[in-house]
Order: sequence, then C-alpha cells, then structure tokens
Amino acid sequence: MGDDQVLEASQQVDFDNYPSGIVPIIQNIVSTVNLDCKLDLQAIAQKARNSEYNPKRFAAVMMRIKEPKTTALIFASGKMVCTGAKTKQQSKLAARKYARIIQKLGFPAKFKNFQIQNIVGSCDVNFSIRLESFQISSHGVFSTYEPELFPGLIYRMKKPKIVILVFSTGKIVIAGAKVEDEIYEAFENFFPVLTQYKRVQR
Amino acid sequence: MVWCSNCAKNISRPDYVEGKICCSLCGRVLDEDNFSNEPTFVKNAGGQSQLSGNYVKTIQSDYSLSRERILNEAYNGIESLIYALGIDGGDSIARPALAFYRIAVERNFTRGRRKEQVEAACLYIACRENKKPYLLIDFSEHLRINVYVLGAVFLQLCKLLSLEEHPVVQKPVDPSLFIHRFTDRLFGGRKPNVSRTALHIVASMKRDWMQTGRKPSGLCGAALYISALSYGLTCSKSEIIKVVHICEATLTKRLIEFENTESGGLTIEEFNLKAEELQKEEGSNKVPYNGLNASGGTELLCEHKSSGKPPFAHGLCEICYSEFIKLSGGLDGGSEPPAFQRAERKRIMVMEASADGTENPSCPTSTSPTENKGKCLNFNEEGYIKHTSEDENLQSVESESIGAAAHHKMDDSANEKTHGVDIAHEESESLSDIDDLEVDGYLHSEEEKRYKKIIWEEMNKEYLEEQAAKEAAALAAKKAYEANFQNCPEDAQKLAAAAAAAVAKSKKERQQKRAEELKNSVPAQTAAEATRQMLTRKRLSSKINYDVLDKLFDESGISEDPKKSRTEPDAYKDDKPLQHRERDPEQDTYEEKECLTEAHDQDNYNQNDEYNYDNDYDYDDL
Repeated sequence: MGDDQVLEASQQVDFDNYPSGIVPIIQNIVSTVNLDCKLDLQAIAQKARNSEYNPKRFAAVMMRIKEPKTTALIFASGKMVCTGAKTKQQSKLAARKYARIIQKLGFPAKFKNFQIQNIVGSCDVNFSIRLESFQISSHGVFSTYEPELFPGLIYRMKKPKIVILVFSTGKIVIAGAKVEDEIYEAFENFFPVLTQYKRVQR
Repeated sequence: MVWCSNCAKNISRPDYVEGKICCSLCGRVLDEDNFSNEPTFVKNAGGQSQLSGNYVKTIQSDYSLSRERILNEAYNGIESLIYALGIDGGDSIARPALAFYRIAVERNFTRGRRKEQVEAACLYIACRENKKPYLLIDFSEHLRINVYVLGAVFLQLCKLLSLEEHPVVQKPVDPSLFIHRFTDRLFGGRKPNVSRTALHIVASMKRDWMQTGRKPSGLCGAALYISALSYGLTCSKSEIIKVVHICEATLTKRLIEFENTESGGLTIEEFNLKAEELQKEEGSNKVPYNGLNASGGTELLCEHKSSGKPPFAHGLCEICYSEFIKLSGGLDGGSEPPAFQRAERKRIMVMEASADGTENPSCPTSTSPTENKGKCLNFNEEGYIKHTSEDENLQSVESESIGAAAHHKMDDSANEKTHGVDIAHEESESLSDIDDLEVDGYLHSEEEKRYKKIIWEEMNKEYLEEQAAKEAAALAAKKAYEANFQNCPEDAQKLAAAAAAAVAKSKKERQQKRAEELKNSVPAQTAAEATRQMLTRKRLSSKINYDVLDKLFDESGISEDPKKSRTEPDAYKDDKPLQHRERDPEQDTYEEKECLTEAHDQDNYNQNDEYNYDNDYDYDDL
C-alpha cells in the first residue's frame, strides 16, 4: 500500500514541493476527442471484437482495449470519451488506438481536439477525521455532509475548483481537476484543514 | 373611504347596492362593478357582437386558479404525510413546508419531479428546522421510494432554496434526538430509564468515534437494543429492525463494534456511573488542552462571528463548542473508528507480507506517520499484539520496500515520458504510429462478423423493430401529406415543402440558439439589466415602454404596462403583480404573462400618467 511515494534520493524535494509529506496518486483520467466523422454504431458493434452496443440502454458503443487498460464510449456523431488511464500520456495513446480501430473499420476518423476533462486522485492521511466539525467551522460553506445519504463529506474547493471527498477513516478522494498540478495543489491546501480536525491521541 | 365629488368630502361608509358603490349622503353612484361568471354579448355600432365588460383576475389572490389548486393539493399532501408519520406540531410544521413548496413551484422545481417527492423534501426541511426527530428514511419508507432518490431531491431543493450554508441543513443530525421516538414506537410508551441509558450509550459511541460517517438510525438501534436488554425488557432484533429501518447485518455489526470499545466491557451499572461522571465533567466547561487551541488561532470562526465573544476552542465560541462536543463527541478519541481499525489491520498485514521478503533495513525512516501502530488497538486477534514492540523494525522495513517500489515506478514513468514526447512530435492527425498488429487483433474476421451480426440482431430485436416502425410511420405521414397536395400546382407544393422544412429547421435552430444564449449570457449587473435580459429572452420587448422601465429602477415608483386595461378598478390587484415584477426581475414571471393575456382592452394610455385610482377614471361606455 505504498501511498507515500517516497523517493529515496529526493526526499528533500518531496518536502519542498509537498510540505504535507503525502502525494496523492492519480487513479483515473477522462478525456474526449472528436473523430470528426459520422459513425454507424451498429456496424462498429458487429465488426469489433471488444465492443458492446445496447441502443435501448445507452446510445453509444463501449469499447475496451487491454494496453493501456481503458474504456471508450463512441457516439454516432463521431465524438469519443476515453476513461481509465492513469497518466496523460496513456490516455492520449489509448485514444489514438481507438481512433485507429475506427479507421480500420472503414470510417475516415481523425483525431481532433484531444482534451483532458477530468483527473481523479486519491490518498490516505493515516489519521481519523471528525467530519461533523467541518460544518460548524468556517469551512461549512464549502462542505456537504449528510450521513443519512453518504458516509463521506463533500468539500468543494473554489480555487482550484476541485471536489474533495473526505472519509472518517482518513481516506481522501480528489476529483474535478483538469491538470495534475491542480490535484497536488488542492491537497496541499486542504491538508492543514484536515490536521485541525484529526483525532487526537491521549 | 371614497370621495364623493358632489358632497366634496370623503365618505367613510358608502352604500353598497347591487354592485354599485353609492354615497351615503347624496346617493350619487361613485363606482360600479358588475361581476358575473357568464359572459354576455352586446352588439356594437358596427353590428358585431362584442363581449360586454372585461376579464378580471380573481380578486382573492395573485395566483391563478391553477396555482391555487396546486398549492391546495400540496397542502393536503403535506398534511397527509404529517398524519401518516405521526409528526406532531400540525400547522406549525405544515405552513413552513408549504412555503418551501410554493417557492419550489415558482422556480419550476416541481416540473419533472414527482410532486410527493417534492412535498416530502419540503416537509423534511421543515422538520429539520424544528428539530423534529424524523429521518429521510422514514419519508422514503412511506412513499416507497429509494432513500437516495429522495435524498437527491432534498439536496437539489436545498440548493434551490440557497439553504446550503444555512445552519439548518449544515448541522448534522444528532442521533440522540431519535431515541425517545424509537423508544415510544418500540415499547408503546415512555420508558425513561431505557431512554436515558440509550442516550448514554449513544454518547459513548460518539466519543469512541463509531458515529462519524454512519447513518444515525443504526447507532440508535444498537443503543436501544442494548439498553432494553439490560433493563430486562424483551425486545428482539427483528422488532428493532422494523422500527429503526436498518437490516440485521448492520445491527449485528454495530453491536460487535460497541463490544470492542472500552465501554463495551463494562456492566450496566458501571456504565451508568461512568456516564454520569462524564456528564458532570462536561458541565464544568473544561478547556481542552492547548495542542488544539494552537491551530485555531484567536479568531472566532463559528456562526457567532460578529458577536464579539472570545474564542473558546478551535475558533468556536463557548456555546458552539459545547454544542459541537455534544453533537460529535469532540476530537479526543476513545478509540479509532472501526473502519479505520480495519484499514490499519490491512496495512499491518501488507507490511508483514513485504517484511518477509526483504533484506536488512538500513534506510531512512519513512515519512508515513506510524504512531497509530504503536497504540494498542482493540484487536480481538492476538497475533498483532507483538507488533507494538517491533515498531521501529517495521518502520524501516516499510520504507525499504516502498523505496524499492518507487524505483520501479520511476523507471516506468521515465519510459512513458519519452514515449509521450515521441507521440507529441508525430503528426497528430495521422495515427500511423499505432501498432497495426495490435489493432487488427481487435477486429473480427469475416466469419466472426457474420455470427456477431446475427447474435446482435437477435438480442436487440425489439430495438430494431421499433426503429423500423418509426421509419415506416414517418414515411406514411410524408406520403399522406404529399397525397393531399398532389392536385395542387407544382409551385404550391414546393412552397409547402419548403415551409415545412423551414419550420422544422428554425425550431431546432431556435432551441440550439437558446441553449447557447443561456450558456453564454453574462449575469446581469443591475436590476435594470436583468429585466432587459429577461424581456428579450421572453420576447416581450415590443410591449414594454423602455423609458419607463429605466425610471422603474431609479425611483421606486410604479411603472405601467401599456397592455393593461384602465378599467380594471381593483387597485390592489394591479399593484401586486407589478411589484412582483419589480422585485424579481430575473424570475420567470408568470404573472406578467397573465396580465398581458387577460387584458383584452387595447386602449392606448397616456403613458406618462401615474396610476391614480381616485378621481379621473374615464370609463369605456359599456
């Protein structure tokens, strides 16, 4: 469970860039690209091995590839959403593989406007947190906590515009970033708040 | 008070005779209103039949008839919910709930949502405000819908009503509120001992961090169960489950967790004693130790910011702090939350596994805080106790294995970076760098394609049939349309076709344009701008006098709507809708639409006159 990415040689850098001592791990990157041609989803579903298409449930073909391990939603208008990659480069590579598959199936697919829409990261702070205290404090403006509905607290940071899910066990999920740095920045901003409400050993 | 020009004075009590208001001194007819439900028609000078009189809005309220009906039905719905759930308070709860509902209707929140769900959400907010011990799950059980669906409606409603930062919604629900209600339901009457002990148990659970992140009903159920059994009252798990709305697995889990805490080991008398001691301690306002104060600073951060009270702890004033302690059990822990304990156990297991496979440790200590491992958690398994003594060994072992893993990660990311750079240099449109062999692997062979086609068509038969039917219907409609006009000359046909196409196209375009406008529109800076935006959006701009509109926001005078009939004598009725427009320029003002559509009199005003209802009425001769 190496959630602390402690690099032996560069430990000092770690603390300069990441004063909290914890670096969130990127778990998922969602990106979109425009293939710029109309597609026949039935034909794609019938010709490609790794695809499923259930028009009554959802109007897109779901295609998966093994390397990088990703899933793509391909729409009839030619737009495509690629999810599941762990780095930006992997996401782009995967999207290009999907575009290549579509090309081979006989459609004049291009690769326009590749854009990363969402990056999700997670980490573990190793101490328990009293979620109720967020609402009473000055951070109550940003937090939503309804234990009847969801066990975690939803914190919406304004700058950078990020959503953080905080659980009482100390696990944190950071989502909504468009670049990886936003995730790290958000976590560094948030860590002091967390330490304020952590469980105190007697 | 009506002015009689004949007597030249105000008459305090005029006579009301047959729809006419008469002066009580001289008998002069001052005003005449003939209301009737049936329209009557008169012949005008040209010989045409014309409606005599004008339409008048209902005098009772600003709302249209349909709106009244909606609100009445909502009120009945809310009352039936109150009755069904046994919420006491009657009107004092129903009225605020109805007020929320009215706002929801005005903001079009009820469109697309089931009305009972919106009613339930409004009632739930009212209950939370009055601290009535009712959970969302009670409402959802009564309405037989998924609690998360109702929860989503509730959260959206809070957002709509801007209640997100309001303490009503912000302060989390306190499980202690529910104990009394559940005790009543279980035992059919008040049992103060059971309730009191249950409350103590819940407080102890809070201190032991069992409560953060959990549904309050589960804790209450467990506390009640223990409390009831300890007083000798027979109460089975299934009874609790029915009352509290949790499942048996959850109840068992909570009981086991409580058993694992320190308080779980005490007998009931010891427990009660300890609880009372703690209560006395809390009452004496002890200040938490300084480690916590340091982080809070000296600023008051709670809702009593402006009251000037000194901060007590954590940036909260004394009142808020004691509430906080009562609600959540404070930050000093009894034991770790159970989920955290599980996670710790997993961590230790992982470390054990990696410790078996590494060499001697000689690395800097890792940065992961491991003081928690030092603390003796309440494990049931004995195997882990030995770790408390071998702490340092573990720490360095862990860092070694993490270091090894990090090395691998570095190599991987270096590879990816070069790969990424290569890709960036490539022409991004040509995808020729992708390995063709791999891609071919993802495509079917000819035979496979045939099989898959058959399978897919079989599986999606219904969908294909629907599509075929749709197309056939469209074709038939087109044929029928054409058949109608077959006899017409070609030009007319072409015109008709072109017109139809244009209509379809413009509709779609309009929709798209509207969506774009909404997205791009800058929020208005002033009220005048906002009104203007709304007017252009609703395409009422030809009917509004813009000069007066500007004046509207300079003074607080009343502006005119040229479409409104002068002869609507009810001053109250006219003022209200206008004031609505003044106050809420950005809302969808259905009232305005109604004014415009109901006024049939197309008189042209002298638009610079102010409204004076007293003297100078020029009636249209009826």
